[in-house]
Order: sequence, then C-alpha cells, then structure tokens
Amino acid sequence: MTTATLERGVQILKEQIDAPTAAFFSSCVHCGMCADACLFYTETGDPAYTPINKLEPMRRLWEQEYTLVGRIKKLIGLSKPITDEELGEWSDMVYHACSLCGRCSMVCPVGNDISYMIRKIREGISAAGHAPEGLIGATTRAVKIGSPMGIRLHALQTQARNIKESSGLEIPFDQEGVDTWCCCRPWR
Amino acid sequence: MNSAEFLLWVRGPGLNIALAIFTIGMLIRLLEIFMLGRKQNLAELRSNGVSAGLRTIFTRSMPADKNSMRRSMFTFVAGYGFHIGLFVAIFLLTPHIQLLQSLLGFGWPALPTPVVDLFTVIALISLMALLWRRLTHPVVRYLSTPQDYLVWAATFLPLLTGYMSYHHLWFPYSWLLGVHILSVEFLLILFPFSKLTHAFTLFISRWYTGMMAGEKGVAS
Repeated sequence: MTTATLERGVQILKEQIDAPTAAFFSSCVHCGMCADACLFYTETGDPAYTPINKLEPMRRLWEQEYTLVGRIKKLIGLSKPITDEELGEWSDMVYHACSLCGRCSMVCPVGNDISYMIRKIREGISAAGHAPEGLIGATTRAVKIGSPMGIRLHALQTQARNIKESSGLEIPFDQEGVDTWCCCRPWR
Repeated sequence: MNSAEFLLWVRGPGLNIALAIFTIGMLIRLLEIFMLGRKQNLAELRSNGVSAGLRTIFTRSMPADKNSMRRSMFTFVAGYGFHIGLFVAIFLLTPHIQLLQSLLGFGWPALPTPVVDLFTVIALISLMALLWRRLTHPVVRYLSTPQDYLVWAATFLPLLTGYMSYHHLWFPYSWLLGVHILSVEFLLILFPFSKLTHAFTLFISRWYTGMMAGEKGVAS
C-alpha cells in the first residue's frame, strides 16, 4: 500500500475535482439552507456542521488550483495552503458528521449536490491518512487477512464445514461456475 | 469633472470597459468549469439523465416541499422577494429595455414604472432583511466572508441609486443617474470574480445534479 501523506491526500483531492464540483463551488451563495436540512446541524445547533462548510478544504483547493483569481492569489502568497492538521480536523466533519443522506443536495436552491462532494473529499482525507481508525483497520485487515472483520481462511472453512454438516448443503470453495460467490478470499 | 462629463464617461468608455471585463471574465469562469470535465461513469445507467437534468433546472426555482419551506421560511420569502424584485427592476423598466435593445437588437414590453418602483422597494427591503439575517443568524454569520458583504453592497447600490434617481431624492438627477450607472459597472466588474457567478452557474449545477441523479435512477 502507498503511504498516506499530505502530498498524496492533496493530489487525490485535486484529481477528485471535476466540472460538477467546480460548478457547485461557483454557485454557492452562503444562504445556509443546507444547514436547515442537515440532522447534524439541527440536532447540535453548531454552525460548523453546515453541509457546505464540511467541504471548506476542498473548496480552497479548487479555488487555488482551478480558478484564475485563485492561482494569482496563490502566486502572490495570499492563499492559505491546506495543512495536514486541517485535513485531520475535517475527518470528523466528513466521516462522523455526515451520513451521506443527501437532504442538503435535495434542498439546495442553486442545485449543488453536496453529498456528492462529501464522498469526494473523503477520498482525499483518507489518502492523507485521516480516515477513521476503524475504517483504516478494516481496510488493512481486508488487504492483509482477506476479511475486514479479520476472519482467516481456516475459520471461514470451518464455518462452511459446520454449515454443510448442519444443513447438508455443499459449499464450494474456489470453484468456477458455481452460484454462490464467496467474497472473503484471503489476499495472496 | 462636471455632471455632464461624468455621465458621458460612464455611459461610454465606462460601460464598455465593464461589459468587456464581465464578458471575458464570465467566459473564463465557464471554461474553467467545463474544462475539468467528468470521469467516465462505468456504472450501468438507468437513463441518460437528460430529462431529469432539465427538470431539476426548473424545479429548484419552485418552492420546495412543505417541511423544507417551514425550516427555511425566512430565506425563502426574502430570497424570492429579492430575486423577483431585482429581475423586474433590471429587465422590465423602459429605460433598461431601451439600453438592452441598443445592445442586443431586440426589445420586449415594459411594466408601468410605478409597478417597477414597487418591485424595487420589495427588492430593497428583502436585501436589507437578508443582510440583517447574515449579521445575526448563527449559520449565515458563520459562513459569511468579506466577499459576501461586498457583493451585498454591490447589489444594493444599483437598486438604491436607481430608486433615488427615479424619485429625484436629495441629489441632482444627472449625478444620481451617473452614480447609478457607475454602480452597475462596479457590479459587472465584480460579477465574474465573486459568488455573483451563481446567476449563470446555478443552471450548470442544477443540470449536473439532476442529470447524475437521473443516471442513477433516483429523485433530485
């Protein structure tokens, strides 16, 4: 696996920015209606949980990299670069304070698909190594052991044998053309 | 500079400079957006998304569902009041239509001036209400940047000076008219470099949101 660094996070985040994202950031008028639609804002009353604010690092990166004015500002040193600490802070905002329910995208008067962008900023934040620990662990286990829950092959085979004994059903392993597909294969 | 020279400048070179910056700036902004493109979608599409995209462009101008309306009532009322008022003031006042006719080559019927005057007042009151909200509501205050206040002022001034010119308030008419045109030129110059671009890009946003939802086969 590639090591997670700030540079990689920023690079991945840059690659995530597409024409819809640019149109969305260009259209936001800071009206605050997405906050009224967000359960994390309505339940806490914390304005930081306003959906569009959860994308602030990505918005700055878009401005700095993909707009003329932003590039000039970056050139003369007027823009605030994205830091590792900031992406770490924003991890909470986009993983713990968003369920991707999409209500913000449904009420935005200019039609910004905010949850679409939350999905994108998560790519950059995880590439920078700031995904929630549980997710990093599950991914590591899936790659190293073959299962996000950490179930090893022999445990799976034992379980399959038990099911076969109790139900009498054949459970095929690594066979072509079968109806059942076991997706918890170990990584080899 | 006397008022006649000032008026000549704002109606001639001033307007040309502002229009040039506005047009070239907006072209650059739109190119910046479209040149980014979209990644190829490898999922099997439920539809090509065209009808959903076009529908979303219209439906987002309509009032939302009751629950969302109730939650954001202030923004809804002031937002509609301001935008409808501004639209009428810009596009349905006789002198404005005459100016646009000289630029575009075609015109359209105007509303009686007292009616436009009423809409201007609605827009002015709505804008003041929105500024008050921006200064007091925790969310909008939190989101606001200096640009939001600059854009507010740049939108408020043409409406205010237009209203003052029509009613000949406090200052000589020719100066008021000149300042009115100058304030519009400031708005035009600020337009491509601020959130004012939403007047154009919101159609792109709504299109993408509706189209991508249509491709997935979900509501938008």
